[in-house]
Amino acid sequence: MMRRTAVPITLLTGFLGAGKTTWLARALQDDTAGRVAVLVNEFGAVGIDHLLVGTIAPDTVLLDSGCICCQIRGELKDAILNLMSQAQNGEVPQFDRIVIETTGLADPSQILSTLTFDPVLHNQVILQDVVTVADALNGAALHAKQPEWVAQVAAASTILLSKTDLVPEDRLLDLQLRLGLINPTAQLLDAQQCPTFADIASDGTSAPVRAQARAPSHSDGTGAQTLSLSFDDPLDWTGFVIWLSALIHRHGTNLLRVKCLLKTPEGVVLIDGVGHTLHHPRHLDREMPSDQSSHLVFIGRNLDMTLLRASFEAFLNVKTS
Amino acid sequence: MCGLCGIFGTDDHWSAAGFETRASADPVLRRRDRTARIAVVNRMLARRRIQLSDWQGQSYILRNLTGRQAIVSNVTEVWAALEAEFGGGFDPLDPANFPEALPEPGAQS
Repeated sequence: MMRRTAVPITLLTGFLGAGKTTWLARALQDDTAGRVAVLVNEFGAVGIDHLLVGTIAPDTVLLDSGCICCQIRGELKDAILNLMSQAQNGEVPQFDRIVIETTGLADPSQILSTLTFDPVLHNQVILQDVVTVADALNGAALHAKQPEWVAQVAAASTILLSKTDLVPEDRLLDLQLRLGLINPTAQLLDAQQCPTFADIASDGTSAPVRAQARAPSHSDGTGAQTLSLSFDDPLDWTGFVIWLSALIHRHGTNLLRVKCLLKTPEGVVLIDGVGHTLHHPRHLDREMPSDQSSHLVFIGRNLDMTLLRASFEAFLNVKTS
Repeated sequence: MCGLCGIFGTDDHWSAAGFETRASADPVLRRRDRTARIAVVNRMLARRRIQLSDWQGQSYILRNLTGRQAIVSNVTEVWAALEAEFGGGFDPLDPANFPEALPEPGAQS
């Protein structure tokens, strides 16, 4: 029997009314979208979004008993497995990708944890992108006060700025700067230009370069702080993993995001984590230039970044810049 | 799985990933990686007089000098077991837990 490869999942998140469904509906209509199954989750008792998306993607499934991140993680798992089994039996068309649209109030780290650590799911699906739609009109003023918004922005591999035509240029630049301070590792795209699934795909390797251009440690005013570290010496992989596991266990609630491109004696490793959830490390196939440094980005809230840097240097015995 | 007690023990955890991105299929390499992880944890916990050791190549045992012990299946569970069984967790951001700085190579003692 041929072994089925893991189906890539795109997690679509963003605060209430940011424009998640609008972007999804446009992206699904694009010719390059391929065969996509959509899971929609709504907080309200009556689901509406699945009707909007369902006209384009007939496989749309509504997860309708509450917010995906705290109440229906079991239902999410069942829905994914059910969808895959239906496709295998020919009851629904085959698909090459699953998009999960979350409620505006969902904390993505809980969903990532389900997708990554469920013993059945993690062999069937692979989380490819986390897309966060950020509302340019209300983002900085209203949403930034909500802890969910900061968590959603921090978890993103791609941030889509929506409603950019409704705000003046200087306000847009200000918001872009704030988003960059919360999550320097994400690529930023304008939702008005209708980016496709191909546009949002990122291999994750370009991110630390953007972080490098900024000061090593900074805060954006929403309580989120970022620490960027770079160093040239090869890293002791085992020591780093143990240190990171202790850090995530103790401070995972305040550690919104970890993203690292590490030069180890065995090769280059990419690490990506959100909250208490860490994806399996990825080894990059391509050779890293010998002068390439290792880069780490930590995004946290109420976390002493000076101590974090001191701890990293003390336990791993490296000097960072 | 342990044939005696039926406990599932796997290295399918991100902390067990080696160069192969998941735990190595080679039993010798797996043992070597486990030994390296145990050595690092033991260095971190040396001041607490708590030691980690391998258990059948499947799990780990955490012990202190009074004989209290806990079985954990991966290194991230060590930190939870410290809180639950050994009267206090390990904070890597507490300077009191930082290791002593290693002397510079060639430095006079």
